[in-house]
Amino acid sequence: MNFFSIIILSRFAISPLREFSIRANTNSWIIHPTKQFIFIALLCVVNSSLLAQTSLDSLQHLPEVVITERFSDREIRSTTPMQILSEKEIRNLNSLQVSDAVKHFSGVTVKDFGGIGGLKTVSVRSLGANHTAVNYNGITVTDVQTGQTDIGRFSLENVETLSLNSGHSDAIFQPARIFASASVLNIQTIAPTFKSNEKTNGKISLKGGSFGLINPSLYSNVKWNSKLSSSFSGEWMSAHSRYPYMLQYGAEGVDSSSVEKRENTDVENLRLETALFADFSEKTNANIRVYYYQSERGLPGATIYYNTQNFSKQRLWDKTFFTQGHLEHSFSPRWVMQANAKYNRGYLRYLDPTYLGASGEINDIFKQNETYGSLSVLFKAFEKLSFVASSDLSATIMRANRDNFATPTRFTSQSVVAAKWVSNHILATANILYTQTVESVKVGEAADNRQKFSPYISASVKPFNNIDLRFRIFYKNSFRLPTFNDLYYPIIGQRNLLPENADQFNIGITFATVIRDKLPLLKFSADTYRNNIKNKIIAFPAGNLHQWTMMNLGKVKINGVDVTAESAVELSKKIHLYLGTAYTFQQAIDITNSTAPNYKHQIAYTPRHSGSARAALEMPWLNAAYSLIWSGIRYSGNYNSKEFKLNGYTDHSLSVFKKINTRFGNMGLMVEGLNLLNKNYQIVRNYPMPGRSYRATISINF
Amino acid sequence: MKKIIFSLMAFTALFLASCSDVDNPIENNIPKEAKKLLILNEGGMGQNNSTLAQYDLESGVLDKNYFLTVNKRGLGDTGNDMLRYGSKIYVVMNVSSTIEIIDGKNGKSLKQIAMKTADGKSKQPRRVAAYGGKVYVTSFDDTVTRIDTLSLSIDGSATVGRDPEGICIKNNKIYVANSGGLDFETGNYDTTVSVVDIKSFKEEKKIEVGKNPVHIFADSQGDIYVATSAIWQGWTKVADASLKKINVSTEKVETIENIQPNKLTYVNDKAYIIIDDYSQSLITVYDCLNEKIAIQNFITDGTKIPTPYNISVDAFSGDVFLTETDYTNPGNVHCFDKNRKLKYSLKAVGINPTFVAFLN
Repeated sequence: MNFFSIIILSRFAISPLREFSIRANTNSWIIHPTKQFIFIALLCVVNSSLLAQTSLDSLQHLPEVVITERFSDREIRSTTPMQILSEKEIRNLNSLQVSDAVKHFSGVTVKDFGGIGGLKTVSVRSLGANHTAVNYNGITVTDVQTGQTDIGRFSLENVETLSLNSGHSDAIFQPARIFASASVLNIQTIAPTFKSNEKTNGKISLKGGSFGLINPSLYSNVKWNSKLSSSFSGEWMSAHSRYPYMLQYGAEGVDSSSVEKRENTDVENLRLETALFADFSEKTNANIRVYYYQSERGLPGATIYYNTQNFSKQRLWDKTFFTQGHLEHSFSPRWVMQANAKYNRGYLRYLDPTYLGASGEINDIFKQNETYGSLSVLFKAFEKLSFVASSDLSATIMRANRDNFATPTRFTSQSVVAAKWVSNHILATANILYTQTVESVKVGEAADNRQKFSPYISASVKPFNNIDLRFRIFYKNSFRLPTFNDLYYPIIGQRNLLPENADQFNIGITFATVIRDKLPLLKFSADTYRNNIKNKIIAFPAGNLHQWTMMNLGKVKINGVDVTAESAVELSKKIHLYLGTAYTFQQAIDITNSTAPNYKHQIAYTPRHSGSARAALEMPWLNAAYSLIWSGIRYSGNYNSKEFKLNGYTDHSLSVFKKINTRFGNMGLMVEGLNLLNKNYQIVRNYPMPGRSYRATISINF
Repeated sequence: MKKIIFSLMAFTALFLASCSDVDNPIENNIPKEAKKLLILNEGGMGQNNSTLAQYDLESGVLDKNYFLTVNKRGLGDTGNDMLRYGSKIYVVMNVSSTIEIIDGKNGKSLKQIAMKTADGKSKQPRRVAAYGGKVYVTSFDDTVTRIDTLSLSIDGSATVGRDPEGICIKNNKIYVANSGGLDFETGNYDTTVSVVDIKSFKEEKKIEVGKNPVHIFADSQGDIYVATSAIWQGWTKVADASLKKINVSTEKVETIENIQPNKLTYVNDKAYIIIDDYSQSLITVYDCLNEKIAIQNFITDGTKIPTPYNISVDAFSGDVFLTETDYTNPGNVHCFDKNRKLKYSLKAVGINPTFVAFLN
C-alpha cells in the first residue's frame, strides 16, 4: 500500500505547500549603495533623509557610534552576515517577485517550482525553509500549517528594501518572535515621503510580458496634515504561464527529448494594502496597516514522461487578510517602548477534480487564524550599553473541512532579554530567548507542550582606527516547532515530535575602502560557518515501509563559505558602473545514519558551488543592468549518484531603463530580457524553469 | 496453382502456429533455466526514475539502465508491475499511465500503450495478468483493460470494483482485488473481489472478503487466495493484514491463521509471503496444496534484510529474489537458493526495486 502513503505525501507536499527533505539553492551577492551614491532611483525618488524614518531598525535610538562618514553601511558594520537590497537595486535585478530578488542573496537556497505560480521557499545556509522567518514591515508572517512562507506571493511593486540576516541583526529593539528564527528575511514596503508643499504623490505602472503576463499596479500617498499620512497600494496580476520546455527522456544530447508546454499553470493575484502613519510628536509615532491578498492558480505537477497532456487539473486558492499595528514611544532619552499587534486570517483551498477515489475529487479547505501581540522596552543604561526586554504572545487556530480534524490551537509565549555594546572598536550583542507553547485540540490528542531556552551571542571588532576592516563572530541556537501538518495531518502526523534544533557558528571578515574618486566604493566580505541540525523532522516510512510518518530522525552537518564583493566605478562624472559578485560554498551532509549508503552525502538540492554577479551602468540618457545567477551541480535526492544529478545552470538577464520627464510626471520605460541564453534548467527536478522571456514596464510617478 | 495455394496455406499455418507458440505460452508453460534477470525498479513518484535493469547470470554484468540504453528514453514514472508472457515483457507504469511492451530478446520497446480514460484522464494502471493471448491490466479508474498480444492494442474494458489492484485468472474467470485504497483517508475501503467472465468480459459478481484486498492468486486446485493489507492511523495499526481463501463454488471465505502478508508471490503451488511486521523481516512459505505453512522463516543463514520491498521466485530453479529499499538509496536485490541460503546480492540496482522477471 506504499502507493497510498506516497499519495498522502505528495498531497501533503502540494496542498499545504510543504517541503520535505528537498532543498534547492541559488545565491548571490548584493550591492548596497552608500547614501552618497544613491542617485535617482529608477522608478521612484526616495528622499534619503526619510529612509531612516521608515526603517524599523533601532539604530536611530541606540548609542551607535558612526564609524565612518563615508559609509552608512550596516552590512559592513554588522556582527552577522546581513545583506540589503534597496528599491533601486531590486529594479536592476530583473525581478518580478520577492523570490526572484532573494536568489541574489548569498548563502540562500530558493526552491523554485518554476513559473509565476510555482511554489518558492527560501532556505538560508542549508537549514531548511522552516528556519527562515519572513518579516513583513517588522512583523513575522507565519504559517502554522506548513511552517514556511511562499515568497513568490510577495510582489516587489511597493517594496523599499529587502534584507536578509543570518543569525540576528544588531538591532535588538524588536519583538521577541524576530529573535526566534535561524535567519530572517525582511520585506519593508515604501512609506510615504513628501517634498515640501506636496500633499499627494504616487506611482502608476503597467507591466506586460511573455506567457500572458499583465500586471497593473498603483500606489499613492496622501499627507493629511503634519502628523498624519497614509498610503494605498494595489495590484492585479494575471498570467497563463504556458511556457515551452524541453523534456529529456534520459541524458541530454544522448537520449530522446521532446518540446512540451507547461499546462495548468495560470495564476491570478490581487493585492490591496493600505496604511496610516501618525507622528504624534518627536517622542511618539504609530502606524496601522491592513493587507488583503488573494490568488487562484493551477498546479501543473511534475513533468511526467509520456503523460504531460491533461496531467493535472489541480487548483489552489489562497486568501490572506491581516491587520497590524505598531506604536513607539520614548519616555525619556533612556527609556523607549514599542508595542506591536497583528490579527491574521488565512484561507487555503486545494482541489483535485480528477482524483480517482470514490468521490471523484479532493477538496480540502484549511483556515488559520492568528492573534499576536508584543511589547518591547529599550533601556539605554550607559552611552555604550543598552538593554531590551520583549515579550510576545500569540494564539493560532487551524480548521479544516475534514471529518475528525484535530482543529489544533497553539498558544506561544516568547520572551527575550537582549544586550548590546557599541564602542569605536567593538560591537557586541547577546540575548536569550525563552519559548513556551501550549497546544490543545478539539478531536484526539494534543501535541506535547514545549519550553526552550535559545541563546545567542555576536561580536565584531574593528582593530584599526582608519581602516574599515572588521572581524566578526556569532553563535546562535534556534529551533523550529513541528508544524500542524507534522503533528496533525491525517494518518502521517505525529504528536510526540520534538522541535528541530539548529546551531550556527559563524566567523567572518568585512572590509570597505575608497580609492580616490575613480573607485568610490570597494566592499568585501567573507564568512565561514558550521551549522548543525538535530532532530530534523522528516517523513519516514515505518511499518514495513508501507506507512509513512513524521519523525525526528535527520541529522545534518553544514560547512560553508560566503564571499561577496562589490564596487562602484566612476567612468566619468556622469557615468557610473556598479559591479558585484557573490560566491557560496556549501557542504551540507546527511549524518543521520553511519551505516546508510548516503552517509555523508550532500543533502538534496544543495549545490556545493553557486553564486551570482551583476553590473549596472548608469548614464544620463539610459540605464542598463545585467544580472546572472549560476549554480553548480546538485542532486535531487539525498543519495549522490549520477541518476540523481541535476546539471548546473546559468541564468542571464539584461534590462534597459529610460526616464522621460513628461507633464504628467516622471515616466519610466523598462524592457527586460530574462534567461537570455534560453537555458532549459530545473531547480526542482521535473519542474522546468521558463526559457527566454521578455517583460516591459511603463510607469508614471506623480 | 494448387501447390502454390497449399504452400501458402502451409506457410500461413506455420506463421500462425509460430505466433501462437510464442504468445500463448500458457499452453506449454514449462519453466526453463534463466539466463538473464530483468529487475523493475519502481522509482520515486514524480521523479521519472523508474528503471529496468538487466543482470546477465552468465557474464555477471549488470546493466542498471537497460531499458534506457536500448531505447534511448526512460521507462517513465512509477513502474508498478512487470509480467513476462511469451516472448514479451509487459511493464505497468502507474504515474506515466502507460503499458510498455518490450521484446524479451533485446529489450526493445515494441509498443507503448497510453492508458487514458475516454475523457483523457490517466487510468493509473496497477497490476497485470495474462491468459489465452490476452493481457489484462487493472487500473485505478475501476476497470480491467484487455490487450491483445498480437495486435498489441487494447481490445476491451470491463468495469470492476473500486481501485482494483491484484488480478489472477483461473478456469475462464478473472478475479480482481478491489482495494478502494484511494479512500484511505476516510477509511472507506472496498471489501470485494470481482469475478469477471473471460468470454463475455463482464463482471459477473462480487465476493465479500473484507477491507482493503490487494494481492490475489489462484492455486492449481482452483482456490483463490486474497491478501488484505493492514490499515494504519499514524503509528497505530487499526487492522492487521490477512490472508484469505475463497472457495469459488460456495463463495465461502476463510481466513488463514497466523499469516499477515505485506507482499507475496505465488509459484508452483506455493505462496512466498513477506510478513507484515515492522519489528522483523520474515519470509513465510505457504503450501496451497496441503493448505498449511510449509516454512515459517525462509531465510536460514541469518541474513538480515531489515526493509524488504518485494519478492519474486524463479519457477525453474526455486531461487527466491528479495528486494530491499529505504526510499532514499538505490535498493539491493538478494538471491536466496532453494536451500534458503543467500546466493548473491546485487547492490544499488535502482530506486525501490520490486519485481524480477526471468529470461531464458
